[in-house]
Amino acid sequence: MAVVTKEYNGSGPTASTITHLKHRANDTYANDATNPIPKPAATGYGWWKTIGLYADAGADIYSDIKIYGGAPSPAWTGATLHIGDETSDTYDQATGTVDGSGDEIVANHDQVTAKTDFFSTYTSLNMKTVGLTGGVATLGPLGSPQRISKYVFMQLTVTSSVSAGSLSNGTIYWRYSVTS
Amino acid sequence: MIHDFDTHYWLARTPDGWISAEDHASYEPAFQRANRIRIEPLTSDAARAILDADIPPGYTAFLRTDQYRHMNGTLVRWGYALAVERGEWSDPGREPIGGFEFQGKESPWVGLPIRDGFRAELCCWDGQVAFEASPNFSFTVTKEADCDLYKFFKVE
Repeated sequence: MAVVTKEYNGSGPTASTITHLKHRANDTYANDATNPIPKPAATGYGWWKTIGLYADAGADIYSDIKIYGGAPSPAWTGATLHIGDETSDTYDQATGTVDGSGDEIVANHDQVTAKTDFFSTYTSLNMKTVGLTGGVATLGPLGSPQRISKYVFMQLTVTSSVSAGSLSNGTIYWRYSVTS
Repeated sequence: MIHDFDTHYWLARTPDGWISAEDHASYEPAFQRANRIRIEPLTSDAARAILDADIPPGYTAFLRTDQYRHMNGTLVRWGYALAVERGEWSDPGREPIGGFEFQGKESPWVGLPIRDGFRAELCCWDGQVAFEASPNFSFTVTKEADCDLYKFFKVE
């Protein structure tokens, strides 16, 4: 009964298991150097990301899903990872200019009305409650593999002071309870 | 149910005898008839701790595994949480009870309010046991084989 992180892309959307959340200048999930976010004259954005916690079929019951950043926070200059304040079961495909800036999430995402600096705010001492698919209090046993969390929306913001090249990795954790 | 990652498992004494995670889930009605619950190591390299609690009449027991999973899929931390609270719930296995928030040496319980009962979690990443309770519950620590035995009980 594996529990994994899925990234959701495209209009469908298509769900893909990820091990890294690669911020890019396109609506794709690959963890490679293509579609880098260009260094902006003032402020630019990666295309927003949609992720969720996903579980195999099985007898377990899930509850209390939260997300937070690992310590220490990544020492990024000119770059900030934001998380949408809202989580949702409604998907909204990322938009922007391929190999240019993504569209800013608060202004353009149907579900997100505010955003928060993820690594500075959500730590093991202050996790963000994500919620379960469908807004239920607990979910399971699962008859088939499915997304168990609501969609979580994230976006990398970069400024003119950002360093060239790939940023160092930050760490993102899920915390949840299982009744089994 | 016992998973590949499990280092401990639960046993529950019911009026019909002992049942365990080997062939039951803790959300089954049989578990709710338990008057004693133990969480024991499965393997020799597991944290050497046992949780043992008597469930007084009129109280409900909740068992959860708290999991901390890296985005890359790796399970980095897990703990076995036992909550006992006075009252009846129609489906306790489906009650979102929350959990401990580990803040250094402080580990406040954030979830189902503790009015008359206790919360305990065996933290498998460091072998420690977090505990929070109403004044009428306490615990002792003794030795059982090579394990620390945490016995939780109601103070009469």
